[in-house]
Amino acid sequence: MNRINKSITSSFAILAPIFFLLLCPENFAKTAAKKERTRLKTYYFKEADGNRKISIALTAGSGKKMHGVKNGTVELTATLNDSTINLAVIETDTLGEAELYLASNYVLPMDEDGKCFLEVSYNGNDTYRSASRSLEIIDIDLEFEFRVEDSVKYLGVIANRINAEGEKAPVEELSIDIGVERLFSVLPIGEMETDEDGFAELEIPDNIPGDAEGELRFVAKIEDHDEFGTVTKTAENNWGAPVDYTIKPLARQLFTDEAPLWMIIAVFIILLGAWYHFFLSISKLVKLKKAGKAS
Amino acid sequence: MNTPAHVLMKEFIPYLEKPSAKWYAWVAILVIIALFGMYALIRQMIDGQIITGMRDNAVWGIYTANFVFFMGLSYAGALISCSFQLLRIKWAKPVLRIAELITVSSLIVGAPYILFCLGRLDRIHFLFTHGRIQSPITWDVIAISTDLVFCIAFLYFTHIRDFAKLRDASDFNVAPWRKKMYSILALGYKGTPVQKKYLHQAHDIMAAIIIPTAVIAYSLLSLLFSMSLKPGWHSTIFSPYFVVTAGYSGLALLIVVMWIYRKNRKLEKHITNLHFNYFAFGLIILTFIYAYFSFSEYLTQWYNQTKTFETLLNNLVNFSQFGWLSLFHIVFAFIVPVIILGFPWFRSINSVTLVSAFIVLALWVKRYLIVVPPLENPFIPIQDVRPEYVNYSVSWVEWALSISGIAVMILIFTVASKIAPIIPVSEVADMHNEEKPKLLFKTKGE
Repeated sequence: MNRINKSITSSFAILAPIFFLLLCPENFAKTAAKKERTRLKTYYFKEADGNRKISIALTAGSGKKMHGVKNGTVELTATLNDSTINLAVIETDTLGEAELYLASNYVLPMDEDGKCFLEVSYNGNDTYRSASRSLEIIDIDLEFEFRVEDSVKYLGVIANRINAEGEKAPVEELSIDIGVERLFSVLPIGEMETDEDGFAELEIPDNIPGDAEGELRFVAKIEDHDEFGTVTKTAENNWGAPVDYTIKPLARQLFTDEAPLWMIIAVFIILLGAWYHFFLSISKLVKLKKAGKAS
Repeated sequence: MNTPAHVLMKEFIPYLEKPSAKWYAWVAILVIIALFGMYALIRQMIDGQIITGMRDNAVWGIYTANFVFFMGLSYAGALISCSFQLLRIKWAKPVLRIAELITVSSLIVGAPYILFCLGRLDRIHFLFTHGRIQSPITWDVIAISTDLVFCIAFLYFTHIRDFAKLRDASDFNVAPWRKKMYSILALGYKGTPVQKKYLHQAHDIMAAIIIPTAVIAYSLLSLLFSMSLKPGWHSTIFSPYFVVTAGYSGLALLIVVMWIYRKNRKLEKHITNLHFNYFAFGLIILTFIYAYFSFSEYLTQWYNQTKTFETLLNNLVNFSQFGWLSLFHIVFAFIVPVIILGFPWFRSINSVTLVSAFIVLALWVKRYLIVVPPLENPFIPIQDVRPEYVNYSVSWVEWALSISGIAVMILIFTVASKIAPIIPVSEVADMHNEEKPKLLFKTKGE
């Protein structure tokens, strides 16, 4: 009997928690869940007008189950000479994304070589683990140079990095994409690489459609560079083929001040022909009357 | 003198002499109806177009339908009389004057209808002072006025020989002023070979020029519609379609008027079964041509229809909209003519005339269906407007002017057939003893 009681007691002791867990899976999940791992991605953009943008994406999960972490508080700090400078605290949107805009006149803390060390960090919460990402940025300046030689048009770009003193130094072996701004995107024209002077040049075709005056907006772009991020610079030039894009109302051909010449001539000929024959027949009647008098 | 022409003229002289009381009563009724129309027009000029059914959306109504309808009749009359004259078709001579009178009277009556659509009729002279040669309206004014002058001249030419006969008729008891009028209008015609030659030449020249003028005039009329970007109007086949419709309605009316005069004036001897038979044959051919054009017109609209076309076509078959009118048109312009005219055992003078009368009515309805439904269904519907302004409904003013137009047309016939015989007596008398027709122009060979 005791043996039976013991068996029942021990069985119950084993099965009870299983039943409990089966009946309350949520409790099980909560107690058993681990914090989700999070990741931070950062992108640096320098726009054509000199304004900059740091784009941050905070995601959680793994593999195909990655998802954005909404309302996550992200801190942006800069490190300079072993000291940490708090730059901004921003919150991610519903997709887990956040953007920080820096005006062109805002100077990021940088060392004497012009390097700026940024760190983006997320402290995590009950659900998500913390994450951080460092970002090194070097400010770069792109200058356009337009040249025409033997009727051939060349677009040159000079790439210089800028240090803390504002001094420029050429950047070599830098790949730069050249394109022309269209209505919805950039039309690629070519890719070039800078030489030791930070200079690169590309021949521009003559037949690129421009505006009514042939104006084109050239775009030089460094795409997702490890040091410079994504940098864009634009410049205008009238090297395009002039195209008038004005949408004229559909011509109502006769809604004009004056009738077309062919119409005036046609009406004149028709009327002249018709009335000539009318008066010709009237002349026959005149002759008829005269013939009556004569007889 | 007792020539066949004089003998024949004697037959008609009683109709030309002093009018009877019955004639005066008939004229009085027509004048009263015409005056009622005049009153309606004056009211319209004083009160404005608000007393018509025309509004911002449907800016045209039965005035325009009448305009197109009467112009069509005039074209057909001109085509029949002039082509028969040029082709020297003898059997049709007794009815050619009726055709010519249809031409002139329908031109006189029809042309003013387009003016009634004008909001400021007092500015009508602007059409001439500020007219633009590139406007279809200007083309119409030029073409219709030219056509009117030519047709009146042609009508007069065909009367000259009869005027001479009436001038010379000794037993013709009319007022001296009428005798003098005949004398003036006869232009001293005495039937000499030279005068005959000149008259024939004048006839032929006018006939030759009226045919293209009438075709151009009616084609231009169709351009008033087809030049507009409206569903149901903007069509390339509108010009020939209009011309065919005109011929169809005009021939039908000619048959009706032939029947009336045949009965009224007892002209069975001149307007014979042969005329009805031949014209019925022409009518059935025109029925098929008209059906072909109509089918082409509606098929192309229906096949690749837009939303607007779909609405328009739905309204044309919807019995709460234009469905009954469409059905009337289809039955009496296509089905009944094919049945009655197509099968010999249905054909008689009376049945042909009855069918013709319904064809005339059906083709008036067709003109209404051309004008009004497209205006009520524009590509861009009118916004923020009173519901009663969207659809067109005929007002008493428009009915009055329409009925008075018919009265005026009948009045012209009544008066004209009092001035000269309704059949060209001299032509008909010469029909059987005419010398061999001369060539219209010289050709090499025999």
